[in-house]
Amino acid sequence: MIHAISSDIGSSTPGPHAAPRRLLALAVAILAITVPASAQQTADRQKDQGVRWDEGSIRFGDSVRLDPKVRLQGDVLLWNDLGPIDDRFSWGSRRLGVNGELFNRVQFQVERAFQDDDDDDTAWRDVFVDVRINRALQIRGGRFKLPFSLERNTSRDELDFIQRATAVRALSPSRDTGVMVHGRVANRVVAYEAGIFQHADGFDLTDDPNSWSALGATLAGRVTVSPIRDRDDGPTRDLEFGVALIRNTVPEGLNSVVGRSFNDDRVFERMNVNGQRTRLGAEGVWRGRRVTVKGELLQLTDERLQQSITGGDLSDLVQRGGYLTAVVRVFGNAGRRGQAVDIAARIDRLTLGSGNDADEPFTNPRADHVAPLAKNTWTFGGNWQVHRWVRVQSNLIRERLADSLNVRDINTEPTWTAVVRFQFAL
Amino acid sequence: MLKPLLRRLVIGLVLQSAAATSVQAQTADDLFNEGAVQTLEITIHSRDWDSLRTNFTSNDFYPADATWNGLRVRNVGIRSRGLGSRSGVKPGLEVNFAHYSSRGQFLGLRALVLDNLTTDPSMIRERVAMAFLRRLGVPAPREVHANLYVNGQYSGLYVIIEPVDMVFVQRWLGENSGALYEYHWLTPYFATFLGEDLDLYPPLFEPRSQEHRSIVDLFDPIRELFRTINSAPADSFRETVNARLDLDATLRLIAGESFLAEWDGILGYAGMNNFYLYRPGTSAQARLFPWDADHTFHAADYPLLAGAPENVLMRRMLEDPVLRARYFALVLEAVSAASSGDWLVREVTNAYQQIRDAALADPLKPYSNEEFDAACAELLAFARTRAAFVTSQVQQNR
Repeated sequence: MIHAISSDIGSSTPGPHAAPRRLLALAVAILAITVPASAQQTADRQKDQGVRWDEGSIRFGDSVRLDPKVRLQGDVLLWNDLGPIDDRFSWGSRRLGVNGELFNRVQFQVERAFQDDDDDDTAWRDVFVDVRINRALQIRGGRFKLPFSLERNTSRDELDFIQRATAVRALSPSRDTGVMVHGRVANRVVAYEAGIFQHADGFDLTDDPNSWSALGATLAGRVTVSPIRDRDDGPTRDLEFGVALIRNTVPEGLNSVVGRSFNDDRVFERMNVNGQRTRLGAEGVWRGRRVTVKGELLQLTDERLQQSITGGDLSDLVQRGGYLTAVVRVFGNAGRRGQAVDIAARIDRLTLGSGNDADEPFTNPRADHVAPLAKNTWTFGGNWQVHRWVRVQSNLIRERLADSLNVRDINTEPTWTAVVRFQFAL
Repeated sequence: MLKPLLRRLVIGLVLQSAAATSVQAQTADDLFNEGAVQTLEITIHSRDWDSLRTNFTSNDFYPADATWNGLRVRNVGIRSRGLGSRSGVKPGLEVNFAHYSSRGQFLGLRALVLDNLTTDPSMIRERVAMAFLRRLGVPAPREVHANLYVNGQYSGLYVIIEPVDMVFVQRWLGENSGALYEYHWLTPYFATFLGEDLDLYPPLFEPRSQEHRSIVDLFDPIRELFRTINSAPADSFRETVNARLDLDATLRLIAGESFLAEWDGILGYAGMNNFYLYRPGTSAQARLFPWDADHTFHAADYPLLAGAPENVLMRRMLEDPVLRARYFALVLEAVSAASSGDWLVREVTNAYQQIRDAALADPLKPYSNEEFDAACAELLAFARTRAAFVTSQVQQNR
């Protein structure tokens, strides 16, 4: 079945924005195989057949649970030294959806964004079904985030800062249509995710369907190791490390990924690429009693076959980045979603360069030696969890471009931005 | 053991020195040598060239290599350019050596303009006009004809134009620490005072240097210049305006353009057009530089003072007796520059003879070979009769 679905994904390429109908078909297909068996197993255990409201969930007996999802995020721009501010208020996100579980074995999620400043510009966000065979083997099908990057796979409701790190936004893909197996093995110490997807860069590539026809599928995998989990004794509550890999093909054209500023201004030039795109990621999290430290290192390389001015191959385009975040809980209980106040700081960096760093550097999209450019960002924040559904975040962001070889006419002075976000998330 | 090594070292040094000398010997003057039609080759990814021609109304840059006289410049930026002359068949091009590296330059130049000559059937109007203005002492771009090859294919006859940029300013004025603006024609504008709102000025005067400075820094001096032109009392007009605009240089430019029957210049039929304004860093006196002279040679009997009454600056300059006398003296200087040794006739004739074969071979020009010959004949007639007509106009109006 998985093979059949994968083949279908690999062979038909309708465009970067897959139709919800196809997602639904995929979800139904998985459900059709798995639900009857699960239903039989769980039917015997159903004792309470009534409908009840349970802390944000609607329960139909013991076998069906629905979690309505509402997210409203409103941002107020307090300061931005790039120029006059025309409109201080903007919607960070407005989403509506539902999560649920059927027969203790099938989970699903359908979510639609009505407005979002996220990197994913499609209306339908997560639309998937996840079937648990056992702890070591679960199958997910539909449209969902690719297994790459800790921060990318953290819900916007729960981010430590208003925006994800620059490197995460630029180098990690968002959602795509695909099938993934995942689970926990080795006494739950090791978690794995491996999937095949339609394309990894739906939010970032041309809409020309012809350019997608020869691309084939995207392969993605991630492994995390958690030697310490939920420990109440000792200074370390959680410790986790992970690595991830994604391989896909990008069509010829100005299709490199670009770095963006907090204000969504493009800070890297689009470069001509053609061939394999490879993403590598490494991540780590340490959670203590009141302090959490996490970080990631990401790398994306693009082949540039036949992309030189004369039609020859260029050296790989290389973009690297990462971040280090520290969060301190100054008020409230650790790890619980009650009232709490956190302060946080993050340093992140994103660089643009190429495999060839010996010749004369240029900024042009067909340069063999791409003149290096880096964006360094400091973010300082405070998060006030007013209520389990209400949160106020404030961020002070310092962004600066570094043109180490001084070949660009750009402003390398730091810019500051101050923002407050009001969030309601059910 | 050491001898072969030493010999190779010496030979290497000699060869390297010879190559360097060969490169060093080329200068911008060689590039703009009007004694020959130059050859310029552009190598560009075929997809980019197709895209540039398809999207010729866009100003997007594409990377390319440019080769002239054996000198290859890598990673230059080229883009489609022009207003009415834009073409997807024979694109006008800007070749920018610094677009992809702030250190980029070629023979000391930061950029070149490749005029596609699609609005001038004679194909020599622009080059002869700018040569005449330079002869008159007006800072004007150098120009030379060139056969353009793109990826080895002949792409037509062009004129290479030295852009008015900070390199140009430095060459003519000996400093370039000031602010350069390119004038954009939007509506008929006759040097009137636009108003107090500084936002009215940027659409007309686009900064070509110091772009990051504040709107007040960039446009307050422009506003004050035109305020002064319009409101200075007649008895102090010359002194107060001259403090903000080099009036003698302005009169010289207008005299040259008027002699050339330029009907789309400072005194254009539809308002001011085709000029740059420069405010030096070392002085408050702004300068005007001419640009895009493909509407010169309009008619041999084109009135000397056409456009003067409508233009506030020119009208008020002519109302000042000293400036009026100076203007007519400069016009006579232009007459002399054109007539002396039959300079203008020779210039038109030489240019025509020099480019004729290339022009006839140009498969992309938007006019016939007969139209080319006829247009050059008209220019020659202009060159033969314009001086006498202008002299009579001076006698009538002075």
